[in-house]
Amino acid sequence: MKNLSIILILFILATASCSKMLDIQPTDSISASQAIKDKSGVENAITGAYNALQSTGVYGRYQVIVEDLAADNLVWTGTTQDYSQIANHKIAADNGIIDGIWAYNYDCINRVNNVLARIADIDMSTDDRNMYTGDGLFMRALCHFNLLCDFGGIPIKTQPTLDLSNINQARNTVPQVFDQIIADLLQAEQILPATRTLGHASAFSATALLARVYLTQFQQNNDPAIATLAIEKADKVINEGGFILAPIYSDLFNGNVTESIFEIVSSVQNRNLLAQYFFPRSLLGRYEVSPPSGFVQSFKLTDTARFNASIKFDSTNLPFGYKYIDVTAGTDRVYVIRLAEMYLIRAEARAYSNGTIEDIRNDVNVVRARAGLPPTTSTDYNELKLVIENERRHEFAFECQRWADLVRTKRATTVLGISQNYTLFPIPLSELQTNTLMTQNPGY
Amino acid sequence: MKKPYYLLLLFGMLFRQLVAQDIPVSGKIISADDNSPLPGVTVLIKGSKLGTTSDINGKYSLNAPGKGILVFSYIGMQTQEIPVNGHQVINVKMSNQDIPLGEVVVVGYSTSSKKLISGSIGLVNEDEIKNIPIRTIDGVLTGQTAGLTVVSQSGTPGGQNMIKLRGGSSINASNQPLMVIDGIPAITGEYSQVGMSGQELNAMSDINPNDIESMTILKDASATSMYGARASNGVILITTKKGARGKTDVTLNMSYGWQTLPKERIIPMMNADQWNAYKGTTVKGINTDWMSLILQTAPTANTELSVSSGNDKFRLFISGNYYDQTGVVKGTSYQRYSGRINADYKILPNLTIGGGVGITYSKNARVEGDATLYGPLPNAMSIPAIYPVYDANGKYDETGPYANPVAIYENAVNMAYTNRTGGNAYVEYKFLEGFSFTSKFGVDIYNLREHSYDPTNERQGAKYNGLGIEATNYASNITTNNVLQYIKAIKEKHNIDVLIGYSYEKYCNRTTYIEGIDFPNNDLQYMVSAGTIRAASATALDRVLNSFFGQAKYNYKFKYIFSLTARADGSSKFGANNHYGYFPAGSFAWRMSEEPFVKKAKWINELKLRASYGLTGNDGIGDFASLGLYSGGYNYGGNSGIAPTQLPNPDLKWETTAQTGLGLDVSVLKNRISLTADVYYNHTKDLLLQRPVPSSSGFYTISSNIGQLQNEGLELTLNTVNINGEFTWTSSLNYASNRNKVLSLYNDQPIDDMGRGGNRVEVGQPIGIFYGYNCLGVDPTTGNLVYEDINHDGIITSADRTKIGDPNPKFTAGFTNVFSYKGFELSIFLQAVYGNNIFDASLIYLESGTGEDNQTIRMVDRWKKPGDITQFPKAGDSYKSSRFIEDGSFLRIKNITLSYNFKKNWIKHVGMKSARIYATIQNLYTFTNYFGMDPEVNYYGGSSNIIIGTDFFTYPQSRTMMLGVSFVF
Repeated sequence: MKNLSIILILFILATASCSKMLDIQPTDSISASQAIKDKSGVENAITGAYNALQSTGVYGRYQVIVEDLAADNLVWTGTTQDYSQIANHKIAADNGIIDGIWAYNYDCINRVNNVLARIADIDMSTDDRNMYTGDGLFMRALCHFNLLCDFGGIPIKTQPTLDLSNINQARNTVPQVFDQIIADLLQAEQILPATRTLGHASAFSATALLARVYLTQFQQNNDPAIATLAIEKADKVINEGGFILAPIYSDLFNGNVTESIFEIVSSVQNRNLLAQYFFPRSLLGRYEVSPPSGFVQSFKLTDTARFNASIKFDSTNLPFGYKYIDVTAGTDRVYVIRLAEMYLIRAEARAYSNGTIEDIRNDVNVVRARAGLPPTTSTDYNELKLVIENERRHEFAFECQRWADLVRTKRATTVLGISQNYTLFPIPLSELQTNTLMTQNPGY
Repeated sequence: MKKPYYLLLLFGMLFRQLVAQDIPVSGKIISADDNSPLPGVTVLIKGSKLGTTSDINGKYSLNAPGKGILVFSYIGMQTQEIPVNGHQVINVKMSNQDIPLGEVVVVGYSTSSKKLISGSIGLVNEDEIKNIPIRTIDGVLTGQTAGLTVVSQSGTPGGQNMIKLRGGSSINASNQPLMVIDGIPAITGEYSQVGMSGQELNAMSDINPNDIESMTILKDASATSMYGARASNGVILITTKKGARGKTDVTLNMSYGWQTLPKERIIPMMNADQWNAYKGTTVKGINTDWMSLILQTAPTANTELSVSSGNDKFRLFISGNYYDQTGVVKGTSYQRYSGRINADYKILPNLTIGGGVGITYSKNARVEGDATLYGPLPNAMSIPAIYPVYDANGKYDETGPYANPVAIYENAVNMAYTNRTGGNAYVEYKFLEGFSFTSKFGVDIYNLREHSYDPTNERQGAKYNGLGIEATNYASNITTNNVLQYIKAIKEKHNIDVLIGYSYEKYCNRTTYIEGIDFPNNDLQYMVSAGTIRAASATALDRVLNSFFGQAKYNYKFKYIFSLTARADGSSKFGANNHYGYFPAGSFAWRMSEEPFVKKAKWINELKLRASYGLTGNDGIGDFASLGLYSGGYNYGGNSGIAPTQLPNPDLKWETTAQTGLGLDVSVLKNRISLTADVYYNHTKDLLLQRPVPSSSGFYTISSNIGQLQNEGLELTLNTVNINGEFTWTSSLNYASNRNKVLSLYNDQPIDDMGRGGNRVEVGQPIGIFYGYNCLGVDPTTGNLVYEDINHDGIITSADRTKIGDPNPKFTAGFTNVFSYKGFELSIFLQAVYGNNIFDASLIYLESGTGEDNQTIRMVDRWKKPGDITQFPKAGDSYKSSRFIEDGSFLRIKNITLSYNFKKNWIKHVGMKSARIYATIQNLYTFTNYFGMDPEVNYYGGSSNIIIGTDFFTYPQSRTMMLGVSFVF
């Protein structure tokens, strides 16, 4: 009996201390309520949002490649079949690249919304508050805009996802999305600082993005008032921004920072693989995508300075994109907006709203002059529209513009020979399956 | 006159003495088995309620009538009645009862006689596993037990197998059964941080199967519920060898073998001429057979020396083992050194202490596998024959679409070193009458260090000027079990066995990881020389499990057997609202063969009906899955950043499976035919699901308990002694069929498009069906693939996908035949899997008709001009379709072993007790229609229950031939 009671006592002792020992906290994560509660938490969370822009789905790989691959600047010469679907415009809804673009852009928006929802309650200086709020609004607008251009009307997200209550959201209309983007950018423009370290948004980044957004909106609804707004914003950046065109085009990819209005930076620990995707195997790359021979020939014959900075040949005469070159460490910068685009936005807005021919020509020629090309003397709107299109194609090759340009100017169907339905990508299957209010784009 | 009165008194006293007087009787009671003293034996005076019991030393004493009869009885032993006949010393030897209860097996936290088990179990003993050349624990379990499927994920040396019992009851939580070694749960799983994409490491490989005496596989709730929250997937109890009583055996086993990849299984690819014709290139003079360059005939060797000894107080087992397996793909190999000591000592007849330690060191040389660009095997299949190995300058040619595989296996360094120590110590104390208390403490420590370096003369290393990785992963599991048991036999009719227990487990895991690039010289491979550290991280994780359990077993005359168990588990993994889970179970068995009406049928030896029901749990989901979390590491521009990584769910709790089973054990004709049949129905609710959420929310999934799943099936094991004489022939057949069906999911939303084959989870279907486009063939006019327009809307969209295959087999079976004659023995083991589909994702690339990938020889017959009728298109489109679905059924001659046991009287002259030589062929031949290399592969490793049945350049199993000897001195 004595033995039995000893054992029973041991049991009781054991049970007494039991429930507390089950409370174990993770060591590599913190709870959401702890994460953003002071200024340094806000700073870290905003950095986390920039990190999403730099990720594989956005400016780290997919968005950059797809914008030229879906158009006629790149063809698929590699080993990942999903890219082949994009090049051929036979994109299945389960395409992993398209899914990545959708998911990572929305990831950035969610990270931003988490900050914006809490920043009002946190103590910090007005300057800091403006800067972080401005960062958030700018990034949110940029991501919504990327999604809008690729997929059409998309759900607008202005609240963070804290639980499952707001998971299912229907698509907003294209005008609604434009309104949200413009509202965000107008506010960001007011509160962001005028200058900023490389890789972060300044007030002029917001203004410049507004110019691009207004131009796209104008092309959609043909409202000349919007064209005027686009020109206004481009004016402001050109005249007040303090940006200077890189004197030699190739400097842009060789350390010039004076022309950069907004770009994404990378480091060895936060690297991108763009160089690997462009470089041929003889130079240790994957050669996943490369410029097609027709484009290479016409580019080379007509535009030497820009060609030499954009495309090179390897020892076996294979052409490859040359704007991203750090195969080893992956630290290439990725331009999102730079000064040259402002001139071309102004020119395009005027060309499509029957503005002054001379003004259009002047703007185009600024860009051409920098590229060492003779000025254009055309006086016909339609001719100038094509000149602008070609300037953009050469100036911004592999810089995330060509597909958007063709779709915006409604030239995609003619130039690429695809049906109107395929000027939008399919909504990813994973979203369709889980979001009860989502609908697919026609043709998919 | 008074004298005669005294005489009468005296006479009377004597008379009474003679007739009714008790005499003191004493003696010692020992067991006829091993002469050990037997305490607790009941000694009764027949016809009365008077008696005594034997003490600790087996001694008894009492006063008994000189003409009386003493009845000696003890559980499990034959009762003896011995007349006193005036003797004052009566010593007794008690022998085991006439009703043999079969061997004693380990079940739960105690042991039981096999015949008294009312749950469903499977047994594997050392004889069945000694001939299998692959010396890892899951490797030797293949095909041995009905319902237990062991699917080799790939043929990688030391690689992981996916073990599943009865179909697996979970979608997102682990489906791996709990492995318990000598009562201590073992660390299992994959701890590698140097991603080898499907060629995963396996913690279980580091345990030596030579040390195993037996394995009990617990299959149903009544058997497994003693393990509560981790029991849903079944439990495998491993008992290591403990030493022998009264003798000393020294055992030496040595074997040596060769492995090859069977030539008939290598996929035939285009040669240089065919490639030139296909691609329009005109390369002459080069026709590289890449596959033959990376494959080799690989040796394997195993040596083991063990000593097993003991006397009636002390037992000792010591073993040492060296196992070496080179892989058939060059650059892969696995070596393991292990040792074990088990000892136990009976300090007092009722106090035993014991313990053991097992130590292993292993070294694994690996190469990257599928789904990377730097794996020798996938690259060798994918580079066309027109590329040479070396270029004109004698350097490795790197102009092909993929990195040169010869450069990789000759130069890349990928080593994994493990140090594993497992030990336990216990005390067992018997007291009063029938009580015993056992307290056991065990540790399992697993230490993995990985070192990887890609030098500049192969493509991956050249890109970064040398890429080095160092990673460590430390895991430890500390367990304590405390069990109080009471066994009592009442009136020889009622047998009670009750136990209660408490168990505490703590699991710790610590990892580090560093990546560096830009090394000055290929001989300087460690981080100290790296020019730039490009990634570094370290993590820590703790986990606690706190449990109470109890079991009550009762049987009436060994005929009607009842068992009830219950367990309460508290885990740190679950939400604050649901720390504890409760898991009861019950079972009943009726040994009909003990009933008089059955006993009359002398041809029936054993007939037992079993029924069981119980709840078991599954906690195999990530830790902290219920919390809303932010993590660091989302850096940008030189600043540190955080981002939300997990949506919270405070109500997250255990997955529970209700298991119902019926079983029948029959043995007839002097045990010449015995059959075990089980039918079961398992219903899992509160399925732990990584429920997909719209990615527009910023998250991909949330952990939740939503969904229900069922598994129902039949298992049969039939053992027959066909011929019994000087020539004997025995057969053993096991058969299992399982039907798995998802009953509900959140809002019936399917989990779609997982893995390279498009596996899917949807209501009304088994887990992991293939869902894609139905390919109708090639259009003779255009040469393009034509897909079925399921919804007849004129275009092929994602709405035109449908179920195109099912990776779950209709049945699995194993069939062993053993023939023996005068010392020779031939055993043939066949393994069959039937009715499953495989998605051959390699063909998306190898029969793509586009790009730079090498093409199979079937593509020579692709469509070339209008009017061609063929099933191979001009150019593919990589849609996941029925084009890549194949029948994965196979019949494999898994093992043929011929052995000879030397006659005892020949070998005793050299001091041997037994000597055996044998020759084995493993995986001799596979009969299958599958076009790929091995129908038993899954590229994704064992870590997903949904991504199954898919082949993507996966490392196949090899054919092994082995010779071995086994001596006992």
